[in-house]
Amino acid sequence: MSGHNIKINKEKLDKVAKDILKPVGFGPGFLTWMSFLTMALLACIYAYVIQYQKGLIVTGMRDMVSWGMYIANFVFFVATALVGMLISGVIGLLGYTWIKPITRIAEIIAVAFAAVAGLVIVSDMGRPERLLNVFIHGRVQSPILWDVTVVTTYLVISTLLYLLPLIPDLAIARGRMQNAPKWMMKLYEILSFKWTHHPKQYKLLFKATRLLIILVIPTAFAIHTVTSWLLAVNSRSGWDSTIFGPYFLTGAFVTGMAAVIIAVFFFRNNYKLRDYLGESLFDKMGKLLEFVCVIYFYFNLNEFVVPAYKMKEFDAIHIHELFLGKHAIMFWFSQIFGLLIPMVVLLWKPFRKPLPLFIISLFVLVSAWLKRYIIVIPTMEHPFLPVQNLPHEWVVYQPTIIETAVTIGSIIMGLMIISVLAKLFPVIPIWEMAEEEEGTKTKII
Amino acid sequence: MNKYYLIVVVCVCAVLNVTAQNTWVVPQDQKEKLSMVEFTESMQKSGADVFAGKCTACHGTPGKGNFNALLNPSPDDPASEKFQLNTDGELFYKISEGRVTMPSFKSALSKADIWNVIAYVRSFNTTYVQETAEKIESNIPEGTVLSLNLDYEEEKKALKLKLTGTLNGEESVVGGVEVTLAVERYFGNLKIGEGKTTNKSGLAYFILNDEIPGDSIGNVKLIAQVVETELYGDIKTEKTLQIGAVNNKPALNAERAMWNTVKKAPLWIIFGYTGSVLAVWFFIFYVLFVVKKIYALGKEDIPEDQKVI
Amino acid sequence: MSSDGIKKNELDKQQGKNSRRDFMRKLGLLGVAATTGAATTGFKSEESSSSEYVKVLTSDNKLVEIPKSQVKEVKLDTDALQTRGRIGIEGKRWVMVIDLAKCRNARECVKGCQEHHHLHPYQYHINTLVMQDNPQSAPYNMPKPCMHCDNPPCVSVCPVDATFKRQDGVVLIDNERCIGCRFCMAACPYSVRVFNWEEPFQAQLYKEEPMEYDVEMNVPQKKGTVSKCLFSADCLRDGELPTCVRACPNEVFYFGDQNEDAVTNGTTRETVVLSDLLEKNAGYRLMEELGTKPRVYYLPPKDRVFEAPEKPDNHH
Repeated sequence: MSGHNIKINKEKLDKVAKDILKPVGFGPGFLTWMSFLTMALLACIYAYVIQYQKGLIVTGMRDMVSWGMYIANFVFFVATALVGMLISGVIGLLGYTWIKPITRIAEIIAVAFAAVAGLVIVSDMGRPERLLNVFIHGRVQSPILWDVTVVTTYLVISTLLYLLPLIPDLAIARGRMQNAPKWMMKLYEILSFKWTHHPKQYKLLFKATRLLIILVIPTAFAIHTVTSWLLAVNSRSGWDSTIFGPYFLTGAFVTGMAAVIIAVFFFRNNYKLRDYLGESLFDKMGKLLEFVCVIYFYFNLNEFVVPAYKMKEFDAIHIHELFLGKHAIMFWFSQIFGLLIPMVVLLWKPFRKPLPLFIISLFVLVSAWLKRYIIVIPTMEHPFLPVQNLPHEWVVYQPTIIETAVTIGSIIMGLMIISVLAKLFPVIPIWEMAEEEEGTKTKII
Repeated sequence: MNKYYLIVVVCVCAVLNVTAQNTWVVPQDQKEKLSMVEFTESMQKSGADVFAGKCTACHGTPGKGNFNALLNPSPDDPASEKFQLNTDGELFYKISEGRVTMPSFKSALSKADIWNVIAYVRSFNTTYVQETAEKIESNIPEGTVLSLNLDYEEEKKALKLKLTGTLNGEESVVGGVEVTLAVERYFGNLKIGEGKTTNKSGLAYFILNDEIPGDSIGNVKLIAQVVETELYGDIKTEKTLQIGAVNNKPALNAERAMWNTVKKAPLWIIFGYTGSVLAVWFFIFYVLFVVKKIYALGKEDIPEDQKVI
Repeated sequence: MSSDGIKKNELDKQQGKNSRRDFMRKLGLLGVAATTGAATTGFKSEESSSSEYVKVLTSDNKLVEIPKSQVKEVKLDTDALQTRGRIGIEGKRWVMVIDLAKCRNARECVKGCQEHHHLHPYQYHINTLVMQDNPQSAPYNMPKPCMHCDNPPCVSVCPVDATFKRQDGVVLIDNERCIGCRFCMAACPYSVRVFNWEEPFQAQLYKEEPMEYDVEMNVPQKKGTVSKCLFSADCLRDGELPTCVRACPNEVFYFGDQNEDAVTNGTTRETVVLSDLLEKNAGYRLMEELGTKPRVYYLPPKDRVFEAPEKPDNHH
């Protein structure tokens, strides 16, 4: 609330700041991890250079399946990025305060995945050097233009939502991190915007954050709805669906929640933040995952049962390929391990404990990726008119090593952004954790 | 008529299982048709060009036997004995009219071109000796200059063709000559009705049952000509008349549409898109402005009682 | 072919008219520079005081009169070809009719097309498919060019105006602007678009003899861009039928201007009334239910001239 008077407990702040600031900084472990990622990324970039020089012929895509793993991966990245909105936006606006310790982690994921999503789509372009044409000759009628617009906007809002609540923390950290390198302190100084814990500053910060949180909801809805429209505006069976927007959106909540749970579990253990990322938090996150799973299940039911009931010519082919055909294993794996089983077992409290929840989330996240693959590729394999006079390998899609490497590269990049942000700045909002109890009752937002 | 003929031939092939090859009957008068000029090497050469473009796909290269044997009736190799048994007139007729799988080339090829093709085909027959047609005498005195006139008669809703001949400064009407009328279209001329014979007053009327689509002001270009060019020469007249239907159809990309260029995008999408983008970015910039204010507040002193920490 | 006794008809005003139109067409093809009229083409020309005027056709299809001395024939550069190509031909609505009863899968259309547009053997602007509508009916051959829809889904989704629909109905692709996102390929229900996944078929030729890009032919082809059937827009400008239409040995294709209600058969060159042809033969368009409004009509494979092809085994 903009009118809310904040009070921070000095002793509590000392303890919280000490705990949370401890893992901050580029230690040797971090540097090893980053050099490993860098090496792997260089290999993937090399794969992309080959693709750039030889053309998309080095991928498994051909005239029939002209969109492949890159687009599936793009949808996955956009979906995962949406969690920032779910946590800070929806749950935050509803007044739940248990999300406080994980808001920043959710925003890190949002920023990292939204940033990489933009790069993933560039890797799919036949003429990446003409990217600027989208701005020079952009057509407002094209969902791609909308997508570029909303991804950019979402990235900016998410970055602001990450940076603004960081301002008081950086001011707090500046006096407490004596051993930190100079450049880091300089960065902290710049990004803390002369923060003096002035009550008026807090008021302004609340105001700005609240505005952003309201703003992020329609933007995030737009980003994933538009992404679903990239597919749904085409008349092909499997994409030609009116519920693709909400279907994708709810799927994104599931994916994003899984990603956040994985990240929170990691920081809880590796950053020794058990006091702040406690079991009750996991219980709540588990319940939220259960909730979004149920909604997603409902949309899946609609998306598959309705066409399967009618069995229209091309829908029937599509449904058959998914249920019993060559994509059946992937389809049932993602539906059973990524949705049905989590949805059922999360009803029991023991499964919402940190470790079981972490394992479930891993399954959910992998399934989510496979699900995006299932959404994109089978539809392209079955156009309305027969595919003839083409070599066999041109008809059936098989991702190549180069394509896989570029895709892995995008995941590595996402991990690198998360790793850097998580080591550069505190992952839990210190000032919010040190706030006086009475303050927490009146929501900060 | 043509269609009926086709159906009959197809039925005969299918039901009686008789290849239609032997049944292609050419009318007697056509059979005896001969070229007016002797085949020359240059005729053979241009005939070979036409053959390569129009005939090779089915007939293959003459003498190689690489014709498409799957077709029924079989196209055959033009160099084959059976093929060469055709008279020049029969070849001319078959190329002109076509049947079943053999297309008609009378519009695609000029008469000269057809004779060139025959000249080329005959060059594969060593025993062939050409006969040329005798000069044909027409019933019009020698030296007459024929001219064709085209007019539109409003009350009859008909196009009037008048054939006149001038001999020694004296003009007279010419009857009994077959004429055709066509309208020029972008890729070829469209015949208006069947051919007609000029009457005693040298007139032939072509009644327009349907309006002819014209250009933006209703102009149509009409072409009238005498059919038997071998007899009367290439008598032809072309005239543009404002008798067609006015074409005022808009350009296909005139309207605002989702598929049109950005300049012709539907207004709702232009306003919807720019409106939302402006609204969201207005607030983003507002947030940046707030951050600036936070920065400015950093210089202010905080009263002791209001201290947060 | 004039007979001996009769002198050749002297009257031939039209001959003159014809040649003037041809002259204009040629100029239109080669491009004409004028100080005022052809500003869009962006050519320079010298000032002159000559009073002799000639009529020229500008790239936007306007007939203008300019002093003869200011006329300079130039080879059109890429920009001028693009400007001209985006405008199209005024007053025309191209339409194609494909008679399925006549197709025997000779694939001459495919060959001619691939040569014209410098395509790889696996790239089809036009492809002939073996279709079978239901298990009971006999299979038939179906040439499949671009439908040049009046409500083209591919053009709707293009983010950069690279593919566009002209006033004469032709849907073209500008591979100088295409970013290679392949959204149009996903959007096309007829799967008619192809992509240059690798260096184009004639890459060597382009290297040896650099040529201006003609958007109406989509040549030279470019790696990383989409290509598609163009109704041979370059031929249409010259008054010539599209390549596939001309290449067919079996009278399958008709092509013409819907405004003139006439189509010409590419094999026999016979011109017929479009509406009659469609009415009498129950002409139809592919996937009418999608609302794409194709400009290509099919005549049903009834009373087939050739034997039915073998049943397709790779249907879907």
